Amino acid sequence: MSFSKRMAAGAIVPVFCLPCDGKRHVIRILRRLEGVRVVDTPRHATVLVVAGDVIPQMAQAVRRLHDQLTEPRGIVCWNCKRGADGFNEAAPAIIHEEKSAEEVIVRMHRDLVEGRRPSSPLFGPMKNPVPWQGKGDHGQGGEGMMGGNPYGRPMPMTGGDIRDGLQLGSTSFSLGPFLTWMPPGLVISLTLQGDVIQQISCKAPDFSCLRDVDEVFLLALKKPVPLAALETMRARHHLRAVSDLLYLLEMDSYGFQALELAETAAAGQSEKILQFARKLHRTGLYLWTTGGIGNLPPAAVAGLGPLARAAGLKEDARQTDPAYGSLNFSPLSQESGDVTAVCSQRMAEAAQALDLAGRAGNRLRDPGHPLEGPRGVMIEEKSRTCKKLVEEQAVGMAWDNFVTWLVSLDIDTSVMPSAEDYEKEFRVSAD
Amino acid sequence: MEAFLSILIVAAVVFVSSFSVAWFFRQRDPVKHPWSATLPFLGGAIPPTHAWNQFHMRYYPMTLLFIAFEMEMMFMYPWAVVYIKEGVKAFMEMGMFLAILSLGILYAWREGALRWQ
Repeated sequence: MSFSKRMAAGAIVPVFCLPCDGKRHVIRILRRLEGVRVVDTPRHATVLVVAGDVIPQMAQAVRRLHDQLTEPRGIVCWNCKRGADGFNEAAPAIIHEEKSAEEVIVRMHRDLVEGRRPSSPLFGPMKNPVPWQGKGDHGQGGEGMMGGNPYGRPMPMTGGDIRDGLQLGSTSFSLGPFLTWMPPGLVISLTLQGDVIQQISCKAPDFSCLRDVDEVFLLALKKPVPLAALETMRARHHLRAVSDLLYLLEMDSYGFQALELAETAAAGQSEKILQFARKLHRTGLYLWTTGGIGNLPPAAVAGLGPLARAAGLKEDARQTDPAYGSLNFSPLSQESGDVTAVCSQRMAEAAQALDLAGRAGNRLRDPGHPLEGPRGVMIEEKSRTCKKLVEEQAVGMAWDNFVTWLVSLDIDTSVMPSAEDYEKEFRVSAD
Repeated sequence: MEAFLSILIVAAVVFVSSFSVAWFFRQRDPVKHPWSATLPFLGGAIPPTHAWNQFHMRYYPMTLLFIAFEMEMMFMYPWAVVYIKEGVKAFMEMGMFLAILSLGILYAWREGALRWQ
């Protein structure tokens, strides 16, 4: 084996993750592993981690993304209840439990690089299935700069810019369902002029079932749960949302610290979070990249929990909950509603939650009262999504600001049905 | 003539050797790219159109400012030549000229022409 192969085999494994179960927790687990680096595109990855079962409506996207990995490529399945169906020829490795994840991924990478395992075969065609074809007899002609539909796709036509009506080329495309910074399963269709969003639509229902939230909140809707457990999980949720934003801003070390805090946070440890928040605010890069972006109008974010409070609305279902009354709870809020305010609100609420958890003792929460979840008031395992907010506020935003703002919203669309839901709805057998 | 010949020989050797090395390694390990790999990464979606479109740079305000202050520099070059001979009077006159133009900078600043959009 050559020296370069030995060096490559010992490197940190670049991994691209597909959260087919609709949850981002696998990406967060992978980010905490030392020998693994989660990358944003499949081209940079050696190993494709497929978390959850691949349902038929996602299969095409999964195959396309798999083919976009450069050779050598390998697949690792995690939490696949139906095993590795659909990947049989690729012979993926399977992660059975979280503590063996790093070992399985690193072994897969080493076997691929050292040639002990063949690269996963391609699913798609090698050549473009649609040749260049114009309208004329010889393949020429048509609309657009070059005529015809080159390789089956039209050229972008001109459109009016919303800023000044200039008729220039507008680019339309769809993003999703698997982008590291977007909620899994969400597909957004955009039209850009330059880098300014002209039109946007999200393929997501208005109300969503909460899949990407801790179990204790779903349990709290039905049964009395300890207040301390509820508030500790609230703090962890907010810290994870902050870490997602920090990773997007390429402040990986701060994102990692936020994730570590999220996993180790315990009742009464609010000072650690406040210290972290102060450290973050002292970095000029954080304030520069998040300040003044996406000022949320209070009317548009009412009922959206921390987003509403970041915009200045002091609404919180815990105000009227008698379990919190004895703890002298009062909601925190910011003023500006920009991304910095949203992030500050999350960290302040996380610190407050740990403080409440430390003083709650054995208090139980009565399920008869409205439950304030980490994304707002929860009603029968559903909460408002931000579909309308995104579609209205994003128009006119520059692309980089839009991405930062969207991640700060921490939206959960849960458009990815689980394998059980899909089978139940369409009566497809497990085979 | 000999110098040109030697350069030509060196260039030919470099060309031939670099292409030979590239061809040799290409034969040994040819890269196979499927069609999906040639598409831009959109998280699993296929782009509906090509990305060849016109992009307006919107630099008009910056260009106008540049031309205005370029003309200012055009006046300052001959002034710099005679400044030592003319003394304080030349300094005062150029100061007034720059002060008037500075009002233009303040106006452009207020109107947001210096903001990077």
